[in-house]
Amino acid sequence: MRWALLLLALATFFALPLALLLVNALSSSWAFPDLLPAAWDGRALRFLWRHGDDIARALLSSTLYSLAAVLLTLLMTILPAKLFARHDFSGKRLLEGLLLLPALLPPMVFALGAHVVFLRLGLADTAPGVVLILAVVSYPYMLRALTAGYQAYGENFAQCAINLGASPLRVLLTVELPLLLPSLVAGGTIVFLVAFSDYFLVFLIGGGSVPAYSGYIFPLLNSSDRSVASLLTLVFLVVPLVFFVVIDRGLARYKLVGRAEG
Amino acid sequence: MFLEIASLSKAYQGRTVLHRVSFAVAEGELVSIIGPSGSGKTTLLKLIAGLEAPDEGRIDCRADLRQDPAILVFQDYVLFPTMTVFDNVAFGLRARRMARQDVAERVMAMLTYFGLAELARRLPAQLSSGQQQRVALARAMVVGPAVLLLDEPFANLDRNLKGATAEFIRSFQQEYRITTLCVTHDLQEAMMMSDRIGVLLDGSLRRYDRPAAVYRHPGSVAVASFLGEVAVVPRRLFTVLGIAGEAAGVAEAVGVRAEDVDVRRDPEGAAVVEELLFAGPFSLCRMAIDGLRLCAYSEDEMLRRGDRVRVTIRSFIGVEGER
Repeated sequence: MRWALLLLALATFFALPLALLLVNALSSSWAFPDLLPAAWDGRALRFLWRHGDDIARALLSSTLYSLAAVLLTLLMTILPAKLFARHDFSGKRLLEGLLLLPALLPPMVFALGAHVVFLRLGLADTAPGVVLILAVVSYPYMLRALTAGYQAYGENFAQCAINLGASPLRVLLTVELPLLLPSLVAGGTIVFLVAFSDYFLVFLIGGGSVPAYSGYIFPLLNSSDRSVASLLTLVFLVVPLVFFVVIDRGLARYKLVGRAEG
Repeated sequence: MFLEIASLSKAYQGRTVLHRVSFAVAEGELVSIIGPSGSGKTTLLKLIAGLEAPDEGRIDCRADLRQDPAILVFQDYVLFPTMTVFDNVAFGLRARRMARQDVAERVMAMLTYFGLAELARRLPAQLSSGQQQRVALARAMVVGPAVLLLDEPFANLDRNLKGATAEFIRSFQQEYRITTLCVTHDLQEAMMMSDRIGVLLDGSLRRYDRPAAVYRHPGSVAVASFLGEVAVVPRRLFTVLGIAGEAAGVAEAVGVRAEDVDVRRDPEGAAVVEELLFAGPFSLCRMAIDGLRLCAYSEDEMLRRGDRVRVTIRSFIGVEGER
């Protein structure tokens, strides 16, 4: 009975919206009170085929700047995360709270101020500018995940590696990062999804010169062409899904490692 | 001496963990520092390994510890969980940028010595506790340390594995002639394998000598109590218990260990059995005698609670006025 309820809940929250998108994508009109669409057609598929290059370019661009944002947040937060996890100092709670602000404040608050600065620095309308602004609003997720990761295992691993003669960089790359990988994936996934689905920041800082899938799909979502919008939304899901599958397979080894002591 | 620890002190946030600890270790010796949990043993090892800095004192080693370091084998072994056994053991050599072929040869030689060659491709989580310990020892030994530091090597082992592990540590330590400093709270194993032992209580090294000398002449009740159950017998009971001789001559009290107490049933005896605990080859017998509680090991199966017994003391410990 409990399993049946769980399945029903999963179907309602996950499968049903996808099914609705799929039905929308393959129909030309589906109006209330019809239970099923009045007519089916492949217009959305033909649109996808015709504009395949543009869509692929936007998808690739979004994927690349989102991955770059993940990498940048990792670089930004790895040392602060270690500091927060390993050391106690006065004002630590306050500092931790302040560093979470970008995730709490509306992105617009950041973006409008940042836009002026980026214009002066020559970062506006550039891919690095987009990566930087996305990293600035999403690094708190990475910071939290990595801090928890560092807290999950003791200082002994690093001390042991140093005692065996490893340099701090070797300790980070060969001992700490592999141990942090599950946390990195957790934090990186959120950063990726925030970056990948962002519309406003990419549009403002990228100024239209950095192709973005969210930018491509947004006008269609606002139009009356629900069929194409639905299909492109499904395509939008493909990239994160592929990443999840790849990462899940990559982390299979960690199911063994997970039993290791700290 | 090969390794000299001089007046080493360390405090954390105002709490003294080590207080002026001094001792020396000869080259190729195995020394065990024993003490209860929280007595500062692990801190001592971390200071010698260079992982922490002392507040005061010196660590002098005839070897250059920057060249041939003191390698610490942690209590939980701290094997890198994402690396195979081979990669764990190779870690220190790769950190020294040794050529790949040399790394492979030295690692496999060490794994073969420790009986781990078959497990080279396994992950640490796939090994038993004893195997993990051997990997940790191999990883430490492969870099040719000047001093091997062992933190609680028996802590994660089953009771029946501890003795065998002590013998194994002793045998490879002697074969490699590696100067070894071990900290543990397992007394028997420490005594079995060590050239010398030190007793660390509340951050101070209270006794440091050959195992037999420390056991027979602990020098204080505190040390004797750590080494086993000890009753402090006041002077007024010396005659009743037959404690005499030069050592007892001026002492206000002496320490008496359970194994040095003889118990015989005797209706006229001065002591009364309060408790009997069966412990396999013997029973632990707790007695009261004129307000003093005394403990003995008895093989008398007829002994019962409430029996009166005659108690004689075979030998005792001078306690130097300390209680």
